[in-house]
Amino acid sequence: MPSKLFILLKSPHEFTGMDMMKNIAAGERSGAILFEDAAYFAVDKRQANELLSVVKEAYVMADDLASRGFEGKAVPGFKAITYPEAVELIMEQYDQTVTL
Amino acid sequence: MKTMVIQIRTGSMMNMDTNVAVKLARAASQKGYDVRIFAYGEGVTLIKEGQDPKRFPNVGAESKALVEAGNVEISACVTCCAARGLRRGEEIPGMKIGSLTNDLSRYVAEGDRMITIAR
Amino acid sequence: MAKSILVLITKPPYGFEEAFAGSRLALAMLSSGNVERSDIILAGDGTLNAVAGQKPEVVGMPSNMEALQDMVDFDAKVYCIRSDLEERVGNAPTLDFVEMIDWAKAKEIIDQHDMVTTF
Repeated sequence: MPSKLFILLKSPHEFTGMDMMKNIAAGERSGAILFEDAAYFAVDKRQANELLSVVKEAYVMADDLASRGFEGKAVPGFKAITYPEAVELIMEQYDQTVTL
Repeated sequence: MKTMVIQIRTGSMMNMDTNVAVKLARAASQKGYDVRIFAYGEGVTLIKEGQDPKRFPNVGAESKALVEAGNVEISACVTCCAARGLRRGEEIPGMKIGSLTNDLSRYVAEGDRMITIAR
Repeated sequence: MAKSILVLITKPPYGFEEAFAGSRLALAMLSSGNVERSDIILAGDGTLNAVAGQKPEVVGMPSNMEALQDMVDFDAKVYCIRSDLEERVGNAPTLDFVEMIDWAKAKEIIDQHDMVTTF
């Protein structure tokens, strides 16, 4: 089964793809990278827990977190990463990306 | 070396999506990957020459630098360009007004991963 | 090197150009001869594109039904997640060339493709 890396760009309150992500991620190695306003998933415990119940690994772009005033404040379970690290995940660590 | 395909469908000044696409392309290119960007829908504004945003990042200039570096290719959907009044000759030198059939299909066939940047 | 691409359509018809654009992309991949397989899954609000009896002409929009049906000419499949559609509009009549599936089958189909792009 190809591993799935989800690409999220929208804030938790704008995002409507959680059920879809749950269905696509089910039973496989899965991760998510949070870009732009999706970074807010990593700073609100309730939203963070919901996301972490769907994917096994969660990454947040360090620059998006810092620009929004949350540098170093991602809740446990989220790893802040750089663009080269995001590229490594996309190109080498996961088989497919799915933007939701 | 592997190829990253980026499909961008958001307009250059709508939000930070195009900025994300350019930053991914730059990081991938610097790591030695080939990068192919296909601009579709509103995303075609990426290739318009003469973008001059005040205070905001200039994704046109940044992506032009990537193309000049050599391992990044950028093509935009001709139908989407025509719909928005973007004519051949108005694209940033080095970029191309192309098509889904000729360009994106080739990018997919030669590509290893696709990342879609869109809302 | 990708041989196949799955187009996941999640947007409803006519409020956005996404569903039409996604259908055209899938069709172009097949007509190019560069990509061996391209199928469409309608999921979430995208399932609303499977509803029969659409009249896009009354809002002056191109027909998503025709765009999807063109896929059949290339022996490609258009799938729709039945539960997502029913959650939105109950048992509405659907286009006869669209195959209704559940999420387990959708996952199988997604896994069979090298790339996934979302509209």
